[in-house]
Amino acid sequence: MDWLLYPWRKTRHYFIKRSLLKSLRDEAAEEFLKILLNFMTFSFLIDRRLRKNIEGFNGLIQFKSKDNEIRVLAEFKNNKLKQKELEPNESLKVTPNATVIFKNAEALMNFLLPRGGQEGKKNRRDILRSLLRNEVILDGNFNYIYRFGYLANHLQLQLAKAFD
Amino acid sequence: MPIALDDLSLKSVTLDKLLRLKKLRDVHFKTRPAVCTELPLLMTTYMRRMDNASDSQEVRAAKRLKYVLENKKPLIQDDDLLAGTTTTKTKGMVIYPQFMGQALWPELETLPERSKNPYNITQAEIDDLNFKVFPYWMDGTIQEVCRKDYNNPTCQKIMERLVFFLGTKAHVISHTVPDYEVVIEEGLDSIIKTTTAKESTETDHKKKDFYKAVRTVLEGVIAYAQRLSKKTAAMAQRELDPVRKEELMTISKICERVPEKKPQTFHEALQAIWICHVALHQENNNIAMSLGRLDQMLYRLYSDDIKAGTLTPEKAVELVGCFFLRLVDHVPMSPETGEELFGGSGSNQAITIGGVDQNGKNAVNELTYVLLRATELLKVRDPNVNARYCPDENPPEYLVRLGEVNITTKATPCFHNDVEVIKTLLAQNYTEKDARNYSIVGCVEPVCGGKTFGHTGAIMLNLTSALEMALFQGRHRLTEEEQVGPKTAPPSEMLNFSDFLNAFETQLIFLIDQSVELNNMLGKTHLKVHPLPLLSALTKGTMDKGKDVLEGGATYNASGAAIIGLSEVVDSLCALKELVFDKQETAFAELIKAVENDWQGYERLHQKAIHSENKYGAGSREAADMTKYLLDFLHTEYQSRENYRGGKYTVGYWTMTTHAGWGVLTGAMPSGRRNREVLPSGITPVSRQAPDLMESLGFVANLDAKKIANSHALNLKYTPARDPAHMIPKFASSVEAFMKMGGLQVQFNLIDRATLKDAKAHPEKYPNLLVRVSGYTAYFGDLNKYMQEEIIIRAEYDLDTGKEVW
Repeated sequence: MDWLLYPWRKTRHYFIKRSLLKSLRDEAAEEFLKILLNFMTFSFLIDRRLRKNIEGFNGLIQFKSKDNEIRVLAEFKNNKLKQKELEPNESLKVTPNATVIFKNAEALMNFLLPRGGQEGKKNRRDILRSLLRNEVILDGNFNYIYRFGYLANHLQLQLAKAFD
Repeated sequence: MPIALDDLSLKSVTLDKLLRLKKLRDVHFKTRPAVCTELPLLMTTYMRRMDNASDSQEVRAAKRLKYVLENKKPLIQDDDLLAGTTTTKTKGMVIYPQFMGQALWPELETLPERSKNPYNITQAEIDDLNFKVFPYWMDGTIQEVCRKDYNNPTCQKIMERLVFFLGTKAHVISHTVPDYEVVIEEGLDSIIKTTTAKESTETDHKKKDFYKAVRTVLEGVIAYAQRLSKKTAAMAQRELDPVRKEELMTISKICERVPEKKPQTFHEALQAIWICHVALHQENNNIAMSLGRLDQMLYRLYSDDIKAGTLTPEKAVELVGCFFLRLVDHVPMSPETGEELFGGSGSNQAITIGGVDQNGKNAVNELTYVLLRATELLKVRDPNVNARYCPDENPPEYLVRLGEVNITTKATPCFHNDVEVIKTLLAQNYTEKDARNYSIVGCVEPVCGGKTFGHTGAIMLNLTSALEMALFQGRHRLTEEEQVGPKTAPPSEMLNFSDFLNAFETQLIFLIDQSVELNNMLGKTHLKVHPLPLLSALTKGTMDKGKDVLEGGATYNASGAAIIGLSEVVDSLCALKELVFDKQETAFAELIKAVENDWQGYERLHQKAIHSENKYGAGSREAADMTKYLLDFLHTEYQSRENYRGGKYTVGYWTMTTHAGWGVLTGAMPSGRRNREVLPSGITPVSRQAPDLMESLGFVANLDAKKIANSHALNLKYTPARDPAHMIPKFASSVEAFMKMGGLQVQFNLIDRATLKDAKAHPEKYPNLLVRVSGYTAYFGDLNKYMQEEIIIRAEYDLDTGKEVW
């Protein structure tokens, strides 16, 4: 019955895509992470080829601000991505495979989708660069972040193509 | 060792006569590197379908490598005289999934659009890596197994902040020189016979497995050679050009024989080494796997062929040229930011020429000059050519020839002083014969080729970080409020310079401890995840001990640390002592404020710091004493620590491009240095602080080489003269003088600042401009902007006046 939801998901995906682009343009970075993960979630739901990227991938990635005010969990399980917002002091039942600690929302945005990113080929996101500049700190298995980085980059390129 | 050449320069041997080399060289320069997925796909396929977890790790690694070698495509480039390729691409980037290949994952789809050093990759290759390869290895890389086994250790977390030190073992351990002599003098079947005999009599299961693993991988190498033989024979059958047909038939016969059997000709020896080198790069990262003393190893066969009339010096240059152009068929993997720390590097495979033999006598021979002519003609970044020079043994014409080649190529070879290097190795307990037989690894590091497993690039330590942490009570301005090191005393409590030095030493020892702890953890993890049976087969000592090189099987064991920022720290310590404590020009807290504000608002103090007479590389006693203190301290501390193989840590001062990358991350310093300025390279003085050439050379030459067992890179620039003939004697004299004063190593760029500036502004005018970085040679256009700037501002001396030119 999943196909019945497809039109709704497709429409929702479109609006989230618009929100994401708006947050990138307006630098409304606080909402950016939630919107990005939403966008990813719906992209996986409606795009079978994209979903292949997370087939068999079980992983838990935590994103949190240095001041612990923003905490979001991205869980890849059963070929789906789920996200969950956490309270600043909420304890985790399972240790994440990797944690991304970002200095501020802008740093996270630069880390995941760099400025100019929606224009495609300018200012590549580069995980090591963000580490080098101390904009983000990684804790845990780097390969999970690299994999997430590939997905983010892939979606960013798709966005760029869609709005070329 | 009579030299029959009429002209040591071999001027009559030109690329116009060696059209094959000209063509292959053009192909090298015109080809953009491409990602090759052959190795990771073969490894992953093997692990998914064939790996037997009940085998020992050593045997599993051996069977995996044998599978790779048995299934690797046998290829030969058009017109080449040597068969075998590192990858399936003309110029391939090798991805090692067990090391840090995944670092490339995020940028797979944008690799061709990189602003610096782009790589070609097809959609099919992206899919292979994204869907098949990288997911399989997510929890299986050395980096991540180490993290898991040691419970996410602090030392690894500190390293991953990237500004304090780098522990390279998760990525590359192959800074070594394999025993290619055994390949030339005995052939692989001799090693197989030895291991088979040992395997049948050995009762210790672990050792038995080791011998089995060695035999297995060598069978894999021979299988690869046999397939190359069949492939070239098939190509010969189809070939219409009779000359090429004959060449292919010859190559086929050679590959049928070597490296299994002992080579009988110069051509066979080069082919045997190349096949083994390719095979080693399927097991070990393609960084700094060095080749040793080629002019010594190959001389017997060269000489026999010349005497038999089957080889001429011109033909030898052609064969050596083909060999050099094989060495550049692969490039190391580097994520985009890796370009900031290691940008533009080739594979940094060193060869060593000249010097003395094991009896201390002149070892320069005719083949030395053949290798120099190939270097001069090709001007490619690999191999990194290292010339040994023994002032009282090697003939003066050899030094003159080295000068000529430097002037022609503008950047190579570099110079090592036999007298000092041998003394240094003797102090590290090498036998006299082994010390005299040293060869260079990677950038500048001396080892006994084939006998030492030294991982000379194991640690790169940013010395300015220790200074920074002493200034800010264990914190670093880049990592802000985090308490990284021990909380040492604040400036207000430091009553004299000794108090500050205590804090500095505390922080430095902390970083040394962390770097050593991590290296030892990574070493043990490497053995667990990825033992090295092939490198072990080609390292002396392992057969007697029945141990992998990672377990201490080699005759000599060591690990190398490279220190970055020496001259900057000397200048800063001297300035701090002078301004705060000796002359009391300022309060310590004020000086800290000044550097925190990048000297803004502290112009008078800034001028005093900059114009202090106590600068590294100039005639200052204070700076010389400070340098001696640092060298002693670092040498003593590192030597007192043991690596995971029971060897010692050696200290060197070469920087690759980390001095540029780390400089950009480093704030203003008490020396007067401003925020984000690049750090000086190697052991070189800060630009404009050592205006007199001889004073500068003397300063470095007077350092105790025995405390620099991992060697150093003294990087100098000489203004080229209009008439090279006018420059050569002066150039040679300056090298000779440096060595007679006790200098250890020196290397040059013979390009003036104006040319380099122009090359930066107009790269299209200077394609393939070869420059010396800090240890290795690179193409100027491949370097990041910081590194280009560092080479531009690097001290340049006019040999006529002996003064720095600005």
